[in-house]
Amino acid sequence: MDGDRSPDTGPAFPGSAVAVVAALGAMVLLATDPLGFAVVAVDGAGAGTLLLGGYLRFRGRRLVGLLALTTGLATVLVAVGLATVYPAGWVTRVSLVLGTAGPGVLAVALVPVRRSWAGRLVGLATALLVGAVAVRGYLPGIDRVSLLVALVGVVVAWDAADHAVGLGADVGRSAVTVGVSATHLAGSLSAGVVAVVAAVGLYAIGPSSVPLVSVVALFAAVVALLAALAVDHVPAGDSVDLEP
Amino acid sequence: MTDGDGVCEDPGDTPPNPERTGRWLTAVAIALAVGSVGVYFGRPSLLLAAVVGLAYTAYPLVTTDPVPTLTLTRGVDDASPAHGETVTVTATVTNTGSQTVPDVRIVDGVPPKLAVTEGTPRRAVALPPGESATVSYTVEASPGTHRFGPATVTCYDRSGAVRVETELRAGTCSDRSDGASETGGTDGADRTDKLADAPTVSTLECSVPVEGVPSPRETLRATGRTPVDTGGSGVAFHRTREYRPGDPADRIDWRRYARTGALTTVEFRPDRRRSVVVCLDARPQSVRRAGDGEADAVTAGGAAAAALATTFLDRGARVGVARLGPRFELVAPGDGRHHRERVTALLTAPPEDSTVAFDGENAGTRATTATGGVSGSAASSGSANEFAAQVDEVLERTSGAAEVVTVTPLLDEFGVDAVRRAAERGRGVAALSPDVTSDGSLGAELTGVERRNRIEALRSMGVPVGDWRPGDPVRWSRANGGARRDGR
Repeated sequence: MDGDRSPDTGPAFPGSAVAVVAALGAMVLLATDPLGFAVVAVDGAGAGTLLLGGYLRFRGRRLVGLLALTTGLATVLVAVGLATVYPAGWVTRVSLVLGTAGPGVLAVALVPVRRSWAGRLVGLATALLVGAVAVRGYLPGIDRVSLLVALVGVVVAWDAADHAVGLGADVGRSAVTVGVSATHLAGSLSAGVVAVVAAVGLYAIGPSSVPLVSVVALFAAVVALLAALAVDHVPAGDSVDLEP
Repeated sequence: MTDGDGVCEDPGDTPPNPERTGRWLTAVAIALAVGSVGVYFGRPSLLLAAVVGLAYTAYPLVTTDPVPTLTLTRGVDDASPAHGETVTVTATVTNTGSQTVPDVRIVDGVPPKLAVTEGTPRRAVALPPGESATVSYTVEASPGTHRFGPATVTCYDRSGAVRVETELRAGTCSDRSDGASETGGTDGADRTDKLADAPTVSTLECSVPVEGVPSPRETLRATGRTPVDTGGSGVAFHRTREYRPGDPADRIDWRRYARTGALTTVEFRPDRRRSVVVCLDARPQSVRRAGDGEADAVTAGGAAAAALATTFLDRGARVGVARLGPRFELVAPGDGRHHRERVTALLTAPPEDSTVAFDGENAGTRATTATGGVSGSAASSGSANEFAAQVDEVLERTSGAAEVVTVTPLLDEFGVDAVRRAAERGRGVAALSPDVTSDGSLGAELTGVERRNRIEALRSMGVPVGDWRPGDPVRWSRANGGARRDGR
């Protein structure tokens, strides 16, 4: 729009930082041993440097920004490389590669390398992160709750990133967005807490002898119901019946 | 805004229209993906993790829709700045409802021709009931009347699943429910008072100082305030002449008669009324500007023309206005407060065909590097005739005593032609030319030289020409050339 005629409409910074931190937190929860943790830490350093580079570039410090962007990208690539040679079974390695590539792609999306790609790259990063959670869940030896929390982290990361992209498009990067991002984050975090509690509760009290087919059918039915509700949901009562 | 019982009665705003973004369908995909992997590989923990996806799918169903019960007030530190002055604009959005709006994105309606120099007219904020959010930014004033547009306010619910977009005009609110009255009581009344007190500004008036008006050639035969160079009744001495039978006795110079015995009559300068038609060249060809951030010739010229018309009116002249352009309009000479407002509004209206100037980012350079009237007139000879016909219509529809002041950037021959047509009909003529040429490139310099040649041509015809660069006061050269303003 106009105003400051061509504001930088890249993703808002506070939301971007939250997204990358949430993604990294989720991946830390998935790490099995100190070595895996170290790889994720290297990845985190790279992703952080990338975001910092994006910020510096926005502030007009092009040279330092470019330097930080290059360093960050190189560090992320090193982390992914380390993940590919991680001394473990190939499934673990796939999980770790996905888990390092995900935050990296997310950071690249939020820098942003290219504004029109931001949305799609966020989607790709989310897919990688969900993939990491799924592969890690396939492997034995992970705590149920950790897996739940990690998935919540992934959803929060996607939510924060998508929100930041929308905020940037609406009000630009120079506008103050911390408050809105915090409010939004509080909402999605509390939804996540409810989700984890519900899942753990369900697991604890649920009957254990139901055939798998019934569980799957129930699961599909719930997904279908919620999706239908979400798609056809008409804003209720207080907003439509008040025509004078 | 002025009513004591509420500020929300204005139904002029676009009705808020909630729409769903559907963003949380991503959670459905995540639930399906994780759940399917869990089922396929028989991993209960993954199937359980799908519950997270389901929970997030349900999340937008439990959040309340945003009810944008918002009001906007806008203030400026100087509503009538001079050219180039920076003006600080403060727009405040207040939540007058009883619900928190968790995600309000405000984009203030900056006047389209003004550039924001500092700060940003955008902000995103969470607004609890009764709270306000302020955007503050500075704009650099350019000549003209700049109207603020409505602020665009986009509200989301907490999950971001429902979006309500409204346009807020200053001093109004986007209330779409009776939420505001629910807050009730003294609280609501206080708020209303506060809003009513706050200054609300809808326009920035950047007027052009005018130093003098071109001297009159011809006046109406009505008494006014302009001394003219003929004999008659008045207060200022004009000349003496031989007595002619019928001259009033009190005008006979009796002292002279006593001294010499010859009867002479004293003549005074009569004060006559001027009648002026200010013609603004608002053709699309004239929507040109010197560079980015500069006012185009029609906007700046319109501001100067309005200032000139006001000056004429202040000096007691009858002023008419013609706007030559895609939308031809003529207001016959007149005076009075209402007439003054009408004249100013017509002259400061934004250019009709603004796409010409703003369809490309280097429109400004294209404007000034355009090779004058050659290509332009070839491309639009049909419309050139149309505009010439508009000049003729102005001359036909106004009385013969009305002077014609043409405000044109003189980027093509149209301005010279218009002045010539008026002069041929024996009208008093003058021209005011906003200078929108630059010396950024060879072509631009050429356009500037052509423009100065046209000014010289007009001056050699005896036409007073004001060579005016936006930002300076309007001055008039003597008709015989006289002092060039900046020595170029």
